[in-house]
Amino acid sequence: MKYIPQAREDQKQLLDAIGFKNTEELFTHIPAQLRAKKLNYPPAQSEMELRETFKQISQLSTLPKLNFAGCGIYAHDIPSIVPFLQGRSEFATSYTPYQPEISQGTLQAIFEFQTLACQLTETELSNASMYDGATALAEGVLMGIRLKKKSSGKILLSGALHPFYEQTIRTYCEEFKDRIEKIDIEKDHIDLVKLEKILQSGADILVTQSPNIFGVIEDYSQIGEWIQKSETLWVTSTMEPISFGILRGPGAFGAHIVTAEGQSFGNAAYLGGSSFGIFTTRNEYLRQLPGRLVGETVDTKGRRSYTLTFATREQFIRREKATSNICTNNNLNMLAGLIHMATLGKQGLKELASQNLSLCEYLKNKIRTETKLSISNSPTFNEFVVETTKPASAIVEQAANEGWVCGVDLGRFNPAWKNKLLIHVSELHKPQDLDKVASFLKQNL
Amino acid sequence: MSLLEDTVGSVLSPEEATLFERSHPGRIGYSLPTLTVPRVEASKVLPKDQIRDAVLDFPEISENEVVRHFVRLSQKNYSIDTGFYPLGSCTMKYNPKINEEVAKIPGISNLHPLWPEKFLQPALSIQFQLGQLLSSVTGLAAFTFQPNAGAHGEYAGMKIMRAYHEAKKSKKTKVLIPDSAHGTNPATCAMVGYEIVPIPTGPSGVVEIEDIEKLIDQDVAGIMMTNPNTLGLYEKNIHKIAELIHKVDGIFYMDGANFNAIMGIVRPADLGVDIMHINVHKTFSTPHGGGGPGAGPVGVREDLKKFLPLPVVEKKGDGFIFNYDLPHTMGRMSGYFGNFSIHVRALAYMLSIGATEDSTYIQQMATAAVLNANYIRHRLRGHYDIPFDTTCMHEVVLSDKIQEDFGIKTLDIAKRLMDYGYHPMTVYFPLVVHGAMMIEPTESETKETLDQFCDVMIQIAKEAKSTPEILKTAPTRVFRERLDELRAQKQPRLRWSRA
Amino acid sequence: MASEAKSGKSTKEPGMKVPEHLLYTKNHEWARIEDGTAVIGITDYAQNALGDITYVELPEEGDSYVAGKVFGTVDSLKTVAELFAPVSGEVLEVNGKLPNNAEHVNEDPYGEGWMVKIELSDEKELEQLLPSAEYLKLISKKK
Repeated sequence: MKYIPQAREDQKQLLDAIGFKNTEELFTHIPAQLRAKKLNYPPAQSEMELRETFKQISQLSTLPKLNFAGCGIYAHDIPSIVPFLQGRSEFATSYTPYQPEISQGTLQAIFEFQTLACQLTETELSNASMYDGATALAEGVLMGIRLKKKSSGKILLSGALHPFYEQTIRTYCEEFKDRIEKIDIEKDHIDLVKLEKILQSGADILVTQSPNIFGVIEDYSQIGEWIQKSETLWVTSTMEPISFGILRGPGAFGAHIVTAEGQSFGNAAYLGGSSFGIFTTRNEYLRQLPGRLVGETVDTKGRRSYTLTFATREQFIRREKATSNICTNNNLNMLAGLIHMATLGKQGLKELASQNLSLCEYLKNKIRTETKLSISNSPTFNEFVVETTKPASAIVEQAANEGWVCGVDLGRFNPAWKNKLLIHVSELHKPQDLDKVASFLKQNL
Repeated sequence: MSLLEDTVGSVLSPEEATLFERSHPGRIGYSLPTLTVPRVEASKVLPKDQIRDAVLDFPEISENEVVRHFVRLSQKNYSIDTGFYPLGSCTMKYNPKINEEVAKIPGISNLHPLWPEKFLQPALSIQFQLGQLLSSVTGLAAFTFQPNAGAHGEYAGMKIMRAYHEAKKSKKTKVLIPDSAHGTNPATCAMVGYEIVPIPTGPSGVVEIEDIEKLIDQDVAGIMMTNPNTLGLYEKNIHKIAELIHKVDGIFYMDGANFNAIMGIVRPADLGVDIMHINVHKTFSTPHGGGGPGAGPVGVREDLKKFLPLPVVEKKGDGFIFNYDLPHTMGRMSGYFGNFSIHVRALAYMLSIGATEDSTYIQQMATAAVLNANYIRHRLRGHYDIPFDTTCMHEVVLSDKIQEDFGIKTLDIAKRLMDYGYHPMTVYFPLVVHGAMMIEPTESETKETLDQFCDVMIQIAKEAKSTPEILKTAPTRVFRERLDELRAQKQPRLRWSRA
Repeated sequence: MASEAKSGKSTKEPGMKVPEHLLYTKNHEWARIEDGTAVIGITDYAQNALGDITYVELPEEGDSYVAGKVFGTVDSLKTVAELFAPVSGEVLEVNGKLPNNAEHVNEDPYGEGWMVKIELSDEKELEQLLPSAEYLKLISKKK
């Protein structure tokens, strides 16, 4: 077996050295009746066979000819240097950088990521990243609850959150479920009239998402004004971080905790995992920050160096009193995101965001002019809802039968949304692809 | 700085500027197609007060420079592919490259979680097969793949424990955890809202039945144990402890962090384990990635299946489906379906270590890992204190008791190892051993590597006596000497900014 | 730096300063009793064992604690220690300087490094505390 270098002769030498006759002696403290019987296990596959097995598995479905599904996971172009650099052994096969003297590569990369995350979200402090956007948001709510200490006020959830995000919050915050209250939607965004009232009457935490589950950009400038007048902590989520290339970060409007899904930067869809979550906040909340954090310092020779810091917040030291039980930052996914951001740079990010916006607006106009279907006038970035005249599920199925994906049927989350088809557009789409969507909708509705 | 120092620095010295310092206005590292639809002015369609012109401080760097930057950063990292990584409890085994290759097949990597299931059959099939193989090595009935890491798996597992008791309307409040447990265990319990009752480590390094009998009562919701434990010892009473826990209708949760030592040797379900998480990035060889992504699938016994997180993968006809119809589910653990990219690699590994003519490679792996650890224990005896010097499993725990007399601590020994080209072992854990040094060789290492490592450890023990000052200032032969960690906290610099 | 200040001040063995006029706990807290109140901190021995202290988390004024219960934590670089209330009662005052100047605990554990002032709810509890001689014996044994 090529992964086990211990040849029979090696094994004999090792056993002789420790004074054992055979390997069974290593396990004498396990009662015989509890030892595993013959495992029901398929024969070992060689590398050639594995390659064939996975080729066959990958062919169990055919990839869609065209894809307009977004809703939290977005297909974008991934520059070739991203997998090339991310795959380097020294990044991929190293452990968590607890020994800074021989882990400066990972540590400096995290430090650079923390910097970019703050710039994107317009905040002061970022951790090294989290599992994904949904868990980052749930951890954000938990952090908000810790910051509010003894208060037991309301935890307001926007009704326009991605339902999977909401469910993740409810899992993490089960202990506080009686405090959770959902704010209604007005058409396709948070009901601002109700929000203002409820903020005036007092709440501990407000959770919003923008662009939201309908692709709509919420009125953060208005919400920010009300937040500043209130005692409420504002926790935000963004599923499409490329939108930060053209939209202000929530920190600019006074959000206290800003979270985002990072997948769009450098990570393939992979069924929604693994990806990474962005988590940023204000400096003053450092002690309550969950997850890993890297800081700059010097070594004994005075050379600039990086190290994990403020570790006493974390589980391996604070144990049951830790700010979170998290002990990973999905580092390699974050690294892919960092490399993508570095290669995009200031101009590339702006151009990418502008192309996404332009292509999306092109399709919206096309559908508006060529079909009778309704699309709201609310502002969107790179995805939007088409109000379908028959269930969106049927439209999605029709496209699937033709071998492509025309969007996400929001009715899968909520029966009230059964006539909402969410369409995502990116730089990967050519104008003729967009024309196809419009003509398909025209034919089928 | 002279030009010479500056330029030597660019190739071989450990200095590498940040992305931000490498930035130069107007340089471009991206390439995007020319926009062929009319460009839309942001101000025409977006709320004016939310538009931004650009992310101001994003760097501007050419592609070549980005590549060099990250290649140079990578060169400052130690990794498994560089050398021996004896980190106890981390199972730093070789990460096969074929796993990486199959994970990159576009028909696998590009699957979108919300596509109709007919497009997702490869992914569903992978999770389904992985579940079956995990069931065969653990004896547990079903697995969920949603948890994104070991600690996340613990959280899901403990939520399932809670859901089980709540469904019975029982108001149990306590969970027993050995004092040698990983920090994530008590942290997870606290998150789920259970009170933690620590179990002392017995005189022989394992949990004793009498201690459990003293602590157990009707309020006990369950127990969380790692087997082998973090001292590298097999919990010989585990099956009897499971019986005691089951008597009060408690749940036996096994932390699978150290599963590599016993996979194929015992099946946890046969020991009485009800719930268990697997650290795919340890036992199943997926790369650690400098701190993730990992994956923490959780297995449960038959009657706990109904509490699993939503959705579960099931076979239907010729294909596979996601089943969302679980009225008793504990909820959702994350945005989608777990770290699928890691599940692919794990399946590739599991398929490659299957049955041979006379046994399985799985059993050979566990045996080799355990033999290697015992060999190290044998070779270092006398040079280092071994608090529990009996046959160990996959790892051996030493202490700095002998070296303390010369003013040398575990940290100094660990740092000196770097000078000899090794990553240090796990230090100061488990907490129950003063100055612990935990060494896990895994099955991946040759006898020559083990011998050289032991030679170095013995040499360091000699240095501790003869030239302790060398150890106290170590390392001096790697990228950096010891860091000023106090300064990192007293003058925090947690992101780059112009000085 | 904290460690320099420390060595500069202390003439005795580090960590062994035990002022006679204070009362002590086995968990290494001290209490100074004045007019029905107790001013509380951690001992020189404790600060020395912890090393460079980076953060102190204290309760809020008005909180009440029962003797023996945790009322805060002290973080050093790599460890966290819990603070146990030596006596029961309401917190009257908290040393507001500490969160940003945690090094006071290292430099002057019995002075600037004080933590909270608690109103004694039961003076009898003081009998449970150790006088300086006994505490000194306790820590000498540990050495």
